[in-house]
Amino acid sequence: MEDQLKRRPGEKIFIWFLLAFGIFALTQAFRIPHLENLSSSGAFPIFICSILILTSIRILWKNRNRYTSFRLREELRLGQRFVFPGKVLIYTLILVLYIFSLAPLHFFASCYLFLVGSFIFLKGTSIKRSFFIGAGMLVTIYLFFQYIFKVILW
Amino acid sequence: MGNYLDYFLMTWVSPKLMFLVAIGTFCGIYVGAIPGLSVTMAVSILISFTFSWDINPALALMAGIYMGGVYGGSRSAILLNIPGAPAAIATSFDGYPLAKIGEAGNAIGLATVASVIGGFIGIIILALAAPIISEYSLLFAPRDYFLLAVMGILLVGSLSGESLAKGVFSGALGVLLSMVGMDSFTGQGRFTFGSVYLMSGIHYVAIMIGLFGISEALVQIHDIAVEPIKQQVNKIIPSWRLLFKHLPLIIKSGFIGVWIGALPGTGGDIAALLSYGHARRSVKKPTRPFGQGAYEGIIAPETANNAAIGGAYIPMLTLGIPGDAVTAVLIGALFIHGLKPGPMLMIETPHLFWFTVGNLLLADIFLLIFGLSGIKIFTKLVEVRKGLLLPTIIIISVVGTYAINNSISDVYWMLGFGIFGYVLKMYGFQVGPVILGVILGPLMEDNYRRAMLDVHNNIFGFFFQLVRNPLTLVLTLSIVVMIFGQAQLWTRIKTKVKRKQE
Repeated sequence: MEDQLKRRPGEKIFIWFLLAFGIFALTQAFRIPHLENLSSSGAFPIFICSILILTSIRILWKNRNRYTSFRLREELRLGQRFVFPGKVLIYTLILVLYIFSLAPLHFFASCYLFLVGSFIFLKGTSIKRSFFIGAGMLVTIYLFFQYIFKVILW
Repeated sequence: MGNYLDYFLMTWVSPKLMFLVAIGTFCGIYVGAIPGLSVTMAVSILISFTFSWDINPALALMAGIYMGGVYGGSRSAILLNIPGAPAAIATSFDGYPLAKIGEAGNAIGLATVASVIGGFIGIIILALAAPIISEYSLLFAPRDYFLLAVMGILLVGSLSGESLAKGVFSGALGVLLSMVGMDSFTGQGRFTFGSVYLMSGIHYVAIMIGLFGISEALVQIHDIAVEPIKQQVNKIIPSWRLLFKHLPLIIKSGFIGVWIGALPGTGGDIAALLSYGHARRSVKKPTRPFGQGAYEGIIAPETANNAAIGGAYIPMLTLGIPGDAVTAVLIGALFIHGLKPGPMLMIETPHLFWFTVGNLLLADIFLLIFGLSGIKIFTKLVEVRKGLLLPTIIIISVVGTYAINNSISDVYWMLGFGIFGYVLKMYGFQVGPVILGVILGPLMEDNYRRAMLDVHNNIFGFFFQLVRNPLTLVLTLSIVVMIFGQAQLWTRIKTKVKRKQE
């Protein structure tokens, strides 16, 4: 059944990454002190990390014929295009920028810039209307959450 | 008995609570109907906002959202051939062909009434079965809870994605995330890398909102250019004759829905597909051939997916095991309000159970009212451009995450999990099992350790315990069967139903 599934560029690298993560987590689990019996703090984490490793290996093994056999650089390039094509990549960067501007710019400025920027970038509405809709939306969100949900916005 | 009735009617006599159920149901219908917005996403975000509320208003609102959201998916499935929620996949098989021949109104009307009756069947069975199961669950040993939690993760893993291994990986990842921070038994820090901040763990609401809100918004960017389709809908109230004719199918589908919903980890999506398959096999003379606009093809899945709601509440309230992703999130809501779902919930806070039953029933009534009215406004709302919708979802997600602890660090976690969840989705991993793992992780570990302590850390003693007691043996065998026999069950069911469809 899985052989019939579509090939996803970069999947092999991603699963290898998950395997590496599982191994790293396992080494951390072994470093939890007092690992003297099966009910100690580290026992269950070791079990769970082993499952992460085993399932990653299982996925790699089962899909070995399905995965593309490109060179690492080519696979990375295709994988990046598949997961983060132009529009998604730029929007993810906008999102990251917005989240990290929340603390220095505070709620209103950062959210307004993000809303207007997003409306324009995603072509939600015209540039002119983006500024008005963004302001209206922000005021609604603010009033709604401040007074109904009692969220203290920063 | 009198007390139970008082608890049951709490929402019915309080205008504020009644309003919250109504608004929840109304919003749920729209959340469920807009492709890309899921009930799980809405409930996850709501948890953080209702954090400062009393538990009763919070639960009333969420019951409405849940009931409305599961139904709402059917509308876009019928009108646009895009199921608004996984539970509406089967509805699109016959719903959209009906819309194409100008019977969209009829299809929506039927879906509404079937959903309401399905919801009602689920609620009745919840009210009857949960108190019995709750009493019986007091006999469960820690090993049984451990096995039930394992079963939940395995079921959701095998049913919700393209492969069992990916599902189990996601579930295990969730369990690992739940272990970050201080060990509840010994106070020992785990996976904290020496950071004091990580000692309190990663808040599961930040993980939920990231995985369900942000990652879904990023997935939706791929289809941002798709223009919404305009629809014309007129008469939608179905005739009594049509309903009476299909009453046996409605009842059968309702029972299928409750049964599937009550299994740990399985929800309305599986219930709807199985029920659709059952209707195809059992209905000899459908109104039209299945796949070409058979009324039965709408009635069966819509009854089952709403009946699954009552079913999903059964293990959640009696055992503390979520019936599906939404109840996993609801368990999180109960934890936030200091309640511990499980066998003691109905003993320590008996009002909560009957209050929930009352909320669900009221939500079901509101579903009928809102489902059969306001259809023209609805078609306008579904046509809202994603370019306006997605940034708004992101802002609400940010505010929701910030509201948990008034901490910007939680927002950073949400962003991280959002982007990671997006990559997981792109490579065929489901994020539902991650959340189930996060919620079930502590329950699983605590009970594993208790079970181990019971046998003095003797591994052979532990395995012997797994086959000694009849109840434990049944659970152990179920897990063995699941691992070796039911791998890729979700894919099989979908393929089977689709093949028959063609």
